[in-house]
Amino acid sequence: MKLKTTCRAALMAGLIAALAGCGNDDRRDPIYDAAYASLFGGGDEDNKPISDQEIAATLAATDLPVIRLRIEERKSEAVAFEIERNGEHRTYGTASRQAIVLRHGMITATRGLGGDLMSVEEDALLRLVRARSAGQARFVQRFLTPEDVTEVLAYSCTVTPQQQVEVTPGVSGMAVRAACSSETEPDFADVYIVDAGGRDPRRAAMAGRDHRLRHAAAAAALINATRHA
Amino acid sequence: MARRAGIAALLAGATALAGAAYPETVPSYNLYGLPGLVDMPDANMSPDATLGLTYGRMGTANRGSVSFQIAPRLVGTFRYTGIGSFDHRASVDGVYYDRSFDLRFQLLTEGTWRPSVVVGLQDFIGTGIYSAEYIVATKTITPGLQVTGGLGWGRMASYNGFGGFGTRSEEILDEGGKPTTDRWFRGDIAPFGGVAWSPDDRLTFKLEYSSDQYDLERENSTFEHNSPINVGMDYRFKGGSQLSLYYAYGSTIGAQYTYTMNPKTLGVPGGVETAPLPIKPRTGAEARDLGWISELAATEATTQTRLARSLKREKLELEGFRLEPHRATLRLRNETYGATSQAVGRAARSMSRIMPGSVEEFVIIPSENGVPASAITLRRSDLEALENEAATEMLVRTRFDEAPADTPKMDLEDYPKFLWSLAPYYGYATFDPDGPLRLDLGVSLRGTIEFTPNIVLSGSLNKKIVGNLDDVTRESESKLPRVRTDYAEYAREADPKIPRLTLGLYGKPAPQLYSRLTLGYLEPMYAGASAELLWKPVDSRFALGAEINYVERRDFDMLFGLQGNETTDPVTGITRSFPHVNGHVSAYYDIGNGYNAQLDVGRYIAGDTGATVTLTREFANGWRIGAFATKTDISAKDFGEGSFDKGLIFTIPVSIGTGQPSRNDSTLTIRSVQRDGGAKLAIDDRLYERIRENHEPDVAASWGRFWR
Repeated sequence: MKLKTTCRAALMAGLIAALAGCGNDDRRDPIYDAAYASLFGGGDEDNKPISDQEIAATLAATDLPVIRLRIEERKSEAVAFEIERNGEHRTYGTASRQAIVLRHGMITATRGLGGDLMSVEEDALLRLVRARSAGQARFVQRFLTPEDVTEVLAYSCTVTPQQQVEVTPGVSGMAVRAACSSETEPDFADVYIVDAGGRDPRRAAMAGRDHRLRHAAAAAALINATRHA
Repeated sequence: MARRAGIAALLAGATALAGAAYPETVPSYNLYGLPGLVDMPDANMSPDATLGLTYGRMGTANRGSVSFQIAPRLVGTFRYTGIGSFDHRASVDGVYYDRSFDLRFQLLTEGTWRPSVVVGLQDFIGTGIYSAEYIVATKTITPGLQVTGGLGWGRMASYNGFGGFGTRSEEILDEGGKPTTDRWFRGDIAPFGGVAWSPDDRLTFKLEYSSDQYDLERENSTFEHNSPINVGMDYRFKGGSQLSLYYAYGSTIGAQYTYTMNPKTLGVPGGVETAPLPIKPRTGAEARDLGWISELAATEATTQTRLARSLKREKLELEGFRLEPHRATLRLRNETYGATSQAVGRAARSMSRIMPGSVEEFVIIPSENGVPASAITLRRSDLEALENEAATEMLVRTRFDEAPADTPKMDLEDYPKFLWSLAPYYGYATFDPDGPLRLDLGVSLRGTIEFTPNIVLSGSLNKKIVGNLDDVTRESESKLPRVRTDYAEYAREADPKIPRLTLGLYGKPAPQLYSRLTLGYLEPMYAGASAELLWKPVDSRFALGAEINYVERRDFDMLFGLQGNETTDPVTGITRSFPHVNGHVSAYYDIGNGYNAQLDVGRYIAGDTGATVTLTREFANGWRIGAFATKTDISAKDFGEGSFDKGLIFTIPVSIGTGQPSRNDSTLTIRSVQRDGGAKLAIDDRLYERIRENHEPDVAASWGRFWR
């Protein structure tokens, strides 16, 4: 009896695996697909960074502005292309439909990464960074909680211009550090590179067709821009 | 290739976030499944909405419980207990099974000098075996060190009590289920207290003085009470669950496992679904360009085709469309996104990329089962200006109306549509003394034919593979027609089975009025016809509904046969019949802050008349936790164990487990006892829940998802 029950349980497990993808009804519970993926897939993914050769090949294949996303915590990287402009905001999308929105190089939103940054209040901070001026600015981030309620995180940021740095050969800018603290959240600091002419950091970093954005600051900021539960 | 791997890793990382909890402090739980020391309560409260599941054993007693932090200051508990070697006429094989409910309210929150003060009712609606009341205070002296003291009544005044007010019955009630108000805060009073010390985040040591002498267990069982002092230790695992070990009453050891979760913090914040399309802003010239109007019909056709294609990529469906020089109206079907706001947001983004420049107004009409449920009007220039602003900016500029009379007609190109799937299923039965939890697992073949979106034939065929539901052998007498208590017969004889096979017709006979007609095998035990009418204004928190059913009992094999509405009691042999017609008038009210109330008044399946009150707390992400109680004209004696029908409802959205958007959920109804009084049909496509998801209060509650 015990053996029979065990055999049936094994049969059940096998069937769940076999049935996970059966059907043409998109509305069926995705939980089975997720269970299938966690049992039988996902383990063979590698997290190796994108090589410079791959970046070069990508740049050669498109005229669109390109950014390189890196989330240190997840050890993952992706290449994103500019897919839309709305005022000063630029939306970059990856081939698998993840998106990041930048305003003059500052991340104002992410989508599809999990724990997405929904929007920010960045005017005051961006003004100081772009002017390469020292000062204090208020900065607000909005996230969705797992309950789907908007959570507003308010920071006070101290902006400090630092030394001149070379982004790529022939392209340089001033590093401007924004150290932000909050009464309820962990502190974080971003470093932006603002070009010598006072132009926006994105343009500085993107100067020259073969040296389009390798946006270290964007990648660093992205870690802070996705909320980890 | 590497890029794909990298992106998959991004997603894998995001998925790994699922299940993580915010580091809000959940207090230690005691053997009764509530915040406390070892056996005594303390005055701690869990974070709002915490759901705590505990299983503990002390001596010969097993206690399992579910606690829910109903509000920041109010917690409720349901407990199922089995006491071994218990000499009582209701014991089964020497084990006395009992269900009990507790409520606890925080009178004072903790301040700099003031302790937290809580008043509690324990087993206030059951047989009374655990009946007690208490007032308890807890103060944090230094971080990690808490002192608790309180006064108990009833069971919690059985050791070293002193005279209180009035006298108190200690009888174990046979039927239970009624509030034992004649006992509350009566009889002796006794002090209790203790200390809890947490040297770090993982460990807590507890010492308590208990005022419970375990009189009933000492008299009827083998329990020994040698000391009022109990000691315990909790270990808190990384995920938040707790393992507790106790030495209690100088005679016995105990152990307990506690698992807590919170609908507010469980899951991936914002989900892991792909990014939406960006809004495509227009230039001034594009917005003024009306040149396309000369070919309005042709442009409408091509625009519709492009929009339908774009929506399909968003897993949405264009059900109807109309284009005017300054307005586009989309009849939208959403079977993907749990939040209507997200479906509407994605549709609006698609429209911004496809509509001719002069179109300034987007009217999106969510269609539910082919029925226009509301009209959500957005200005395109607002979408362009506010894409990167707080979502509330867009909400205040959004208009919610009734779906207009000239809603675009359904475009039925892809119909009839046949959908099928093969998936696992489970069935369960709880609280049978011979097996407190029974489970069946098997495969379910499900099929749906949508002749049109509002005429739907659907059904499923289930085949069990493994399980023990059919082991139920207990037969209990019922004084009513056996409209539900024959569930064991169904469990034994139905395999394979057709739980449901129905033709559903949905309509909107008048503004604010929605209708449903369901024909066929309505639920596992009944077949027939069910008609429902719902009145629900789009901006209202109030709704009224009426449902009338004509049913006949299905054969025990749950296939196509019917057996008439006569039942024979296996214990007494008495045959009783019940009417074909039952139904209810229902009132629904959205109280606000996620609390909802429902009142159903009418005739139940067995022919009894009465009312059901349901109170639920709902969360924007789809979680729903509630309780219901039904009182009909059946006396408590005729109803049998439990006195009246009552239970708890837990609805868990599928998206919590996957991080992917879904309108599917899983509902678990736990009844303390399944009897025949107050029984309603288990129809699964009632109107209210689906219609209101498209109305202003619900859409606004999850509006944060509009830009997601």
